[in-house]
Amino acid sequence: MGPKLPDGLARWVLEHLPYPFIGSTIVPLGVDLGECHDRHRNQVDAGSLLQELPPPSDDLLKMALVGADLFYSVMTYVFGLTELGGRRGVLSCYRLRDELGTRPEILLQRTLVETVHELGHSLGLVHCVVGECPMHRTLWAEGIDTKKETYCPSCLATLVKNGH
Amino acid sequence: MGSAVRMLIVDDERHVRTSLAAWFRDEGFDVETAASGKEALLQLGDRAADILLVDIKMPGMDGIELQQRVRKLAPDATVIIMTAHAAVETAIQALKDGAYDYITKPFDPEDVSRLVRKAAERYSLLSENRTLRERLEAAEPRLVASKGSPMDAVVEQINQVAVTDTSVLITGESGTGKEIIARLIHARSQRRFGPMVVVNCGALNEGVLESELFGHEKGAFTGAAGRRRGKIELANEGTLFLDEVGDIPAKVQVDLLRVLQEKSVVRVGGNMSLSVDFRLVAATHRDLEAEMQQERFRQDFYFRINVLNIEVPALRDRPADIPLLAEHFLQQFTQQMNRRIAGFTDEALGGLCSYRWPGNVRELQNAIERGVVLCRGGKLGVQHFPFLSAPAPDDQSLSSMEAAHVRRVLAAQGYNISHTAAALGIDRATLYAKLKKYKIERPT
Ligand SMILES: [Zn+2]
Ligand SMILES: [Zn+2]
Repeated sequence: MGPKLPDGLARWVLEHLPYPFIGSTIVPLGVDLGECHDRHRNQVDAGSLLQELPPPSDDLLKMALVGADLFYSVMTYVFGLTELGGRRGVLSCYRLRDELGTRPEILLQRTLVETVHELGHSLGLVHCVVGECPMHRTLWAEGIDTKKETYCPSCLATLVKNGH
Repeated sequence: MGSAVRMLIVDDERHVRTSLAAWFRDEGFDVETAASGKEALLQLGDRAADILLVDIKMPGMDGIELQQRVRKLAPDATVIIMTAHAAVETAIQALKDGAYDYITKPFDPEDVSRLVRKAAERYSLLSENRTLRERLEAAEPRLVASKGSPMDAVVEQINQVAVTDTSVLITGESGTGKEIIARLIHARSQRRFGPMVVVNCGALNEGVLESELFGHEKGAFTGAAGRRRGKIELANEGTLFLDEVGDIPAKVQVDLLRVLQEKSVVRVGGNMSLSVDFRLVAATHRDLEAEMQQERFRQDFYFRINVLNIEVPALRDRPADIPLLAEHFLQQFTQQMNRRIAGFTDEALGGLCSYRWPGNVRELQNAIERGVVLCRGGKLGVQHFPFLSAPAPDDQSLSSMEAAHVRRVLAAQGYNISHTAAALGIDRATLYAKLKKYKIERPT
């Protein structure tokens, strides 16, 4: 089933989530990851996992955080997968670790930023050209380090316009 | 703006359509899908598309046919072919037919994003880039190899790594053509429209190499009269090729490692960090693992540059390619020198095939060039390749072996005295003495 989520990671991310996600809570995943695990690839199928998540509701966003590596259909890997405006998504911290393994705090910050990224998608935000914005598409985990966990003014404006 | 890009994804597999559509909707693209070529053409009648992602293998109308029809229907649409690894050759054919690019399944998300971003970016520059691509294709270096050659595996590796964006380390003896491999990787990569920047790290001392790689600000050191952009900066959106990477001093290795990790570069004497986006291809004839053991090469840098390794075989390990290469260089040089030479004698060709070629393809190239210069019509014979004449079997004396060996190395080094002396491990004066002793003269 691949690596487990590091202890305390979800808690740390939760405590650092910015507006408009302050006050979120952690609940157990409630999905058997083994059901979505591809033994041959040793990765979890992000598409199946997303389908397994409890249906979203109007007043609740759901974001599954997992330690296993994710793939999606013909994509060899994905950091995360979220239905655009669909209010639910998944994120893996697998590829977010500091490559040299010398700075554990890097994983925390990267997971936070990418959580905000996927949550943004779940609220209908698309990728943003602003390099520091969490909605900026980064192709490498190191690239996440240049992003902040707070939305840029135009992404925030879009959220407000959409009533969030 | 992203929302202006209209994309049509054509694939008979539903999960491919769904996943790619989701991917590009995240990008802000306006995405539609079609399950067949026929459906795609119908859709194009109603709604134009800027970019088409087309699966090459579909029942009914395949991707190649669809692309040809789209070219007539919407000549300005950008067609990107999706293919399996096994069908890359067909995809390359599609490029010749006018497809913008191809991408192999399964997709590396980085590749998909970059490819389509570039396609979108180039949209308004289509006509310019069409010419550019033709120029690039014409300039693509040729790899000469026979069927079943060990080079087949190298070509396969090139095609595999070209579509990724990872660092590649090319190893192999001097003269095996490592730079050609690097150029092919670049030419077949998504960065083909970006620059390919070459730095020969072995030829430069530490200070010069630093300035060459990282650039410098005005007044950074004595002689730095103006600001200079480094090779790394220039390689942005393209490929950086570090030749003789094994010769890079430890301090510069550290600085390069930082550039590779942070994807940005600070010019020498500057404080502004410039973001750079390039693929690193490095090459060396050295055994870097041994260099690491001796602490002459940093392990962290090694792991960073050696994500994928391509080992180029020595020429003696692919003897079947020698006749083809010899013919290739013969044509090249007869054309250049406007000579008429009717090929090789069987004896000469046999000699070329059994020779050990310590200097590999480059040595063969030099030998043919020299042969063409010496040949006065007819065929190239053994007399045009002095290094082939081994000592007579009835003369096994040490001195005659030495004379033959000196002759051979001299020819292999293109009659360069310094290089020959270095290869023989003697100084120039000693070499001159031996040339005199054995009455060896440079052929005219
Ligand atoms: Zn933004
Ligand atoms: Zn995203």
